[in-house]
Amino acid sequence: MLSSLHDAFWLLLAPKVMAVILLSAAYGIAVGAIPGLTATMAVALIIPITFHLDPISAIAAIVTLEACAIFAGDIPCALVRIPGTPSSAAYTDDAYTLSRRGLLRRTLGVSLVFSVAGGLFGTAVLILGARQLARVAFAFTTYEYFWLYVFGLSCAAIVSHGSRVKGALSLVIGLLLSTIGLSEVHSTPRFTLGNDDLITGVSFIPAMIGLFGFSEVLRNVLSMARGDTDPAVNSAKDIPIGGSPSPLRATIGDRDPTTDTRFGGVFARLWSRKLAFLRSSGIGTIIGMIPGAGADIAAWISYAVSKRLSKTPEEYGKGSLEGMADATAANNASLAGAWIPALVFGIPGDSVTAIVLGVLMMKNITPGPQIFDNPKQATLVSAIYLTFIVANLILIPLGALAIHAGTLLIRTPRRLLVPLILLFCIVGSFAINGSYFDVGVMLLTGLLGFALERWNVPLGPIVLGIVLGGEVEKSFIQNLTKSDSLVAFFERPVAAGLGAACLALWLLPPLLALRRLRRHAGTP
Amino acid sequence: MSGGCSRQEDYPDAPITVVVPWGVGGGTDRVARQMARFLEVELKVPVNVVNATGGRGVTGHSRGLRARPDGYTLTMMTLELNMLHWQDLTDISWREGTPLMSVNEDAAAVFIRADSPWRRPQDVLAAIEASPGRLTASGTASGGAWHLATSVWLDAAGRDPADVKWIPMGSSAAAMQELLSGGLDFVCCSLPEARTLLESKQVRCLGVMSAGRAPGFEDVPTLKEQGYDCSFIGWRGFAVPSGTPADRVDRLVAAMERIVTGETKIEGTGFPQYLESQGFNARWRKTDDFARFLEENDASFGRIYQRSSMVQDSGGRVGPWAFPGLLATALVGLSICLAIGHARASRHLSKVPLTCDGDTAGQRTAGPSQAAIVNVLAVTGCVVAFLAFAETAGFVVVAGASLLTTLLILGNRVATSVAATVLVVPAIYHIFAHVLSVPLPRGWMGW
Repeated sequence: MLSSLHDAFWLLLAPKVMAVILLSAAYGIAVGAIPGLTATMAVALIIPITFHLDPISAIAAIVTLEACAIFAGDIPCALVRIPGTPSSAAYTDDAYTLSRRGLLRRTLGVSLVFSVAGGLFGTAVLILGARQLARVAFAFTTYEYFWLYVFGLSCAAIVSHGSRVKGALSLVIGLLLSTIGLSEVHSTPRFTLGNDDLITGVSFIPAMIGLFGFSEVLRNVLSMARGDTDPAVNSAKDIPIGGSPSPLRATIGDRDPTTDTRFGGVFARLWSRKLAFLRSSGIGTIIGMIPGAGADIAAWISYAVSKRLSKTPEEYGKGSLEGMADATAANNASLAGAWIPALVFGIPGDSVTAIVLGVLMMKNITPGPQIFDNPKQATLVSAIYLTFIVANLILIPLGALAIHAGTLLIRTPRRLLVPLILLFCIVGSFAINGSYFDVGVMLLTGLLGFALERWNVPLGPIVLGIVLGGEVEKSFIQNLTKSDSLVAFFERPVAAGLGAACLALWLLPPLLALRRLRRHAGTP
Repeated sequence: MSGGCSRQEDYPDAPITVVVPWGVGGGTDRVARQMARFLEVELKVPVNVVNATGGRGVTGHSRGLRARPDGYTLTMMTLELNMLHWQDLTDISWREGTPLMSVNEDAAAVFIRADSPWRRPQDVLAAIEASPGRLTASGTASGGAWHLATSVWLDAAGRDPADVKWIPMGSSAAAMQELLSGGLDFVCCSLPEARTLLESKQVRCLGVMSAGRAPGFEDVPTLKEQGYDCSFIGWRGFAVPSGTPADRVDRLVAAMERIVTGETKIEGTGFPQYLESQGFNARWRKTDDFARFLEENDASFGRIYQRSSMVQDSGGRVGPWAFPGLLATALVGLSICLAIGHARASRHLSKVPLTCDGDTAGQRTAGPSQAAIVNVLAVTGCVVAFLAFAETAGFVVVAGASLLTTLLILGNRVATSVAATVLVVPAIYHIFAHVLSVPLPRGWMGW
């Protein structure tokens, strides 16, 4: 292990490999920050090139690209309220509200440091425990998946700001949207009205851009025409809204002596939240390890746990720095987690590792338990480990640069910025599949989001509903096809545990509230 | 199509798009992207891949084959194209395109866990016979390619395909994981899809469904050798919409022929080496040969669908409307809850006019002004305009007009607005089309 680490270290230090890493990092940040382009897409775009690179450079490029793109997804989240990836949807409102309060630099600084730390944590687990932990993947059959998906969805519905009923309503809307199109399980078109486009269904990226980005454009043009602040438009009332006589300049935070704008303060924050950080990264890594469950579920579950244990749960969804920090640590930690089943068993943990498996095979490297024993492959595995560390470290300076660029963008007057956001909504939703139908989806979900926000219905659960709707239905039907009785849902120990957790999530809080109410009634 | 004659010498002089009906990073996508890269070298124009996924392949195939027949849109066709119309999911068939070149053929194969007591296909069939309807299998969704392949094998072995419970799975990777977790008895998918698990000895292959042993997998026996006369081939190939000018078709075929024969090389390696490195069987067929193959393949699927007891709606006893029905019920229930809550809250409000909570929805100021409505309509109109005109007028024209309009409406100075538009729109086009290889609609200005 040590000698292979030593070899890998020198391989990685080659100028060509370092150049590849640097370029991929810059590319990853750019792609992640552009709404509508995902980490998976960025990786897919460079696969044809990786065929002509040596294995170390190829893997280094992919690892760096992914880590940087997932972090960069938080930038448009805070700047223009369009989550770069569905895993950022959990804390979009927090990040955006904070940046509107003038805390953009601090928000993204926290996001950067927690992303990097989460990524490093995941890497540490990958290095130390890959062989032992990879078995987790085999504990998951369709029953466990069903409960895991339900658990993730429940977390999204319950922790969103606003009432529990509204969270559930939002979730159900998202799930219903996911049933439009060809049912994957039955090969039956649903709600398609005989239309070839509708058979495709609603994909989550245009929906996400519409729900968050386009609805925000609508809110802004509405309030700008009104020329005054509108309390119903934004739930955080202390936020200055564009359209007031002077255009919004989010510079307050940078000048305010009470806020720490330099990253030094952020590192102190990381230290003060070390336990919460370990918890969140642990959740992220474990969920990342489970094939088919990725950064999005990890972020939501981590956010939910964070809220439950927080001293200030009322801030969540309205600009909670700690909630965002915990969720962003989890989604970056899950990336390394996804490599565990991929390396040890050749089972991809997510779409990016699926691509990586192809690249590995291209280089005549077969993932599997033997990958650690063969000396030549062991060097490559060590190189992968080191790349993860380097990729996360290089993210610090490059991420800081990107944040700086972001602060410049937010200083542009709102009346100039809003039309640009609109343009990005259109381009982003078109670019992902080159489809006009997706632009239509963006428009309609944008109007839907605009309407729902006026009723204080949270939007995050809709996104997760669209992302996981197909999966939850599939596993539900798979389970019912396998066995007639509902008891089977609880027969395996992991499934029973997850199922019980789901039930507790929905039933416990009302019961506790009831008890509290009774106690209050007892002592007036 | 107009102007096609005048520009034929120059073809291709603009970026070419390859429509792939399957997702980013999958086998089909990887083959298509590699081909795109080699085509770029041959044709000297950017070749971009667009993943039009969904609808089990309906979306991508119909978008690609029904595109403008100008030789600038290629379609990556897969065997599902020959299945969809037999399943009544669409009326599109390979006949709507001009086949150019098939690049890869992989046979279906049957896999079991390495620690399974079964040694030969006969053992599986015996287990099925012993308790019909108990064994579970997967590899894809119900009615998908590998489900069909399994039926073909069971049919050839004289068993009813309905005796095996097909668990619908999203991908072969998911099915393999489920197999290893003990949730399935066997999996049917292609050999390259199972390569890592096969080589690391976590699964065993009982037989491959082709006439001869697969290249690269010579130690895997065929099912035919073991007494089951069945074959099931997954293929991938390229086509253009029919009606594409013949000289353009010839240009593309000539380029592809140099690529599939390995004549075109990038840094010393050719396309066949790439396929081989991925475990894909690099078998190619040109135009007429490919068309004959498609014709035959299509007819054989028709026979399978008519003969075997494989019903289209085989998603188990839970129908397609069960899940949406459940959700709709929940939606109604939640709406009622909200309505009751709202009614109670407004009654409460009318008694106590002052609330400290600024978050309630009831606290809305007077309705939006006329200017606000105009703004909202203008913004919505911009999106609608993009939907309506971008394909003909092009991205730069429509996006420029939209941006300028919204900038002016929101009260920016004319000079600022024009400057922003002229700077931003071409920059975005350039970044997407050239740096990121994501094609945006081209139109009047050739942009």
